[in-house]
Amino acid sequence: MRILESGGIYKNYFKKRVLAGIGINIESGKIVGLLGPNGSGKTTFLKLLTGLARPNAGSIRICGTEVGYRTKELVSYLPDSDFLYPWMKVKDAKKVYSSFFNDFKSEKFDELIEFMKLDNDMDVKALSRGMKEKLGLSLTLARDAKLTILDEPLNGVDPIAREQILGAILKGFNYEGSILITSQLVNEVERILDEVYLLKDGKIELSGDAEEIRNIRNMTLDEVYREVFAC
Amino acid sequence: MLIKLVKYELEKKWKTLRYALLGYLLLQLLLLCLTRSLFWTGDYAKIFTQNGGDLEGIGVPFVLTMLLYFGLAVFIGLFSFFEAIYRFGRDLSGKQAVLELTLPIISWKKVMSKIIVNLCSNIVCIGLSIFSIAMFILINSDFEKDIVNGILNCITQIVQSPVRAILATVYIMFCFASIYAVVFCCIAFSKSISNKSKISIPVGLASLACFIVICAYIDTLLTERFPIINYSLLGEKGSLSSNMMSIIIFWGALFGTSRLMENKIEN
Repeated sequence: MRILESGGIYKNYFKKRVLAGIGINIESGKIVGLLGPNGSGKTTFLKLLTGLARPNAGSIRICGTEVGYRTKELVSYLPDSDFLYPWMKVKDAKKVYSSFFNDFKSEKFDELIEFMKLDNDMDVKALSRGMKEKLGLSLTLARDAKLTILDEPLNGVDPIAREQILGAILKGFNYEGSILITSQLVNEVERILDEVYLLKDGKIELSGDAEEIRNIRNMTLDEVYREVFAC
Repeated sequence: MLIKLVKYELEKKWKTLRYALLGYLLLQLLLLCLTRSLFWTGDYAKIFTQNGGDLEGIGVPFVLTMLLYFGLAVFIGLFSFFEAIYRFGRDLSGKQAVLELTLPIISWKKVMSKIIVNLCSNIVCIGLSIFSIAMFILINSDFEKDIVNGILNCITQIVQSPVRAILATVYIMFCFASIYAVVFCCIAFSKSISNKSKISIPVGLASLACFIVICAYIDTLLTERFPIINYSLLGEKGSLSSNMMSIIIFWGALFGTSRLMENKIEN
């Protein structure tokens, strides 16, 4: 089943072109990496998928539905910044998600926060950056969404926590859906990726099956990334 | 889903306002105790009677404390209104906008829930403001018989004509709801142009001013030239066209805000 179907997407912010005709298709059961340096348009593309921004041209369909409030039920999004209210406790965030998202699984969330060594009574404002990232990830992965979008889930997180987060992503993966993940830490995420898209100045420089790319080029994805973005 | 949203908004509002309300109550209590125990003399009770009493002998500390007390009461009455406007702007473009805008609920319900909860918080804050002013007057007038009777008369009048009281309450609530809907629409319009405060605040204020001028002009025109039906309800004069216009403004602003949130606002 095709989860994401997009093509010819252009996005400008005033005169600056951020995305220049890109298109990404994702099938179910895949973990797809959207990789690129700062300013390449990764976050903008993710925002288009979540309906937080709108393309100037092109079409985006999630499970056959144009992006709108109906697709918000299909997409679980972890942004790259704090998105929870400081007054919340972990259990308040859980309550909000279980109230508004029909696909939110409380038991799965409890498992994930236990795995992440978080507690329901912790205050959001007292959490460190890494812990906030883990909480956001637990909320996002506890949904059985068709498309899970993770924007830089490893940013600002220590190496041990990164391992935990990658473990949680695999643990929480719903094979009927897909995960789209962005990261600049290619060497860390490459082992969980099925497909990759390398984005440069709003255009796709390279895309394909992760294993095939590694075999054809006889390099790790990290090395491919360095080669593509070297100049 | 609207009920769930209202519960969520109520919780948000409570978490935001609880310390402000608690602080207000404690401060007012402290000021009341100060005025009564340190600055008050038996003569001051006359100030609050109908003829006003002799103001010349009142001490400066008492006047200052009273001004601070009344100033705080006015502040808390207005606070909930301005807090609601600020919070709506933050919900559209602040850090938590991602959570607000990705909830899978059609936007008019989100806006409606915010209006309902803001009306509730207005009732609480304005109620607290009136209550604290009444307490100040009652306590510092030594529960003067005329004042107590005046308050009791007001309550009796409300109880004796419940239809009038209900209609007046509905009308006031609708006016407040319309103000919120229009202000929210202007905020949404400004945020759809830019999330930067430097641009969005002037745009929002300018659009609100334009909206008020246009609506006032149309309302005058309708009431004077095309009233459809003129009526007098419980002593208040009105016209059907003006009422229809008010309803159109409310729903227009509500769905306008919703449409802007769905199709224009970016985060």
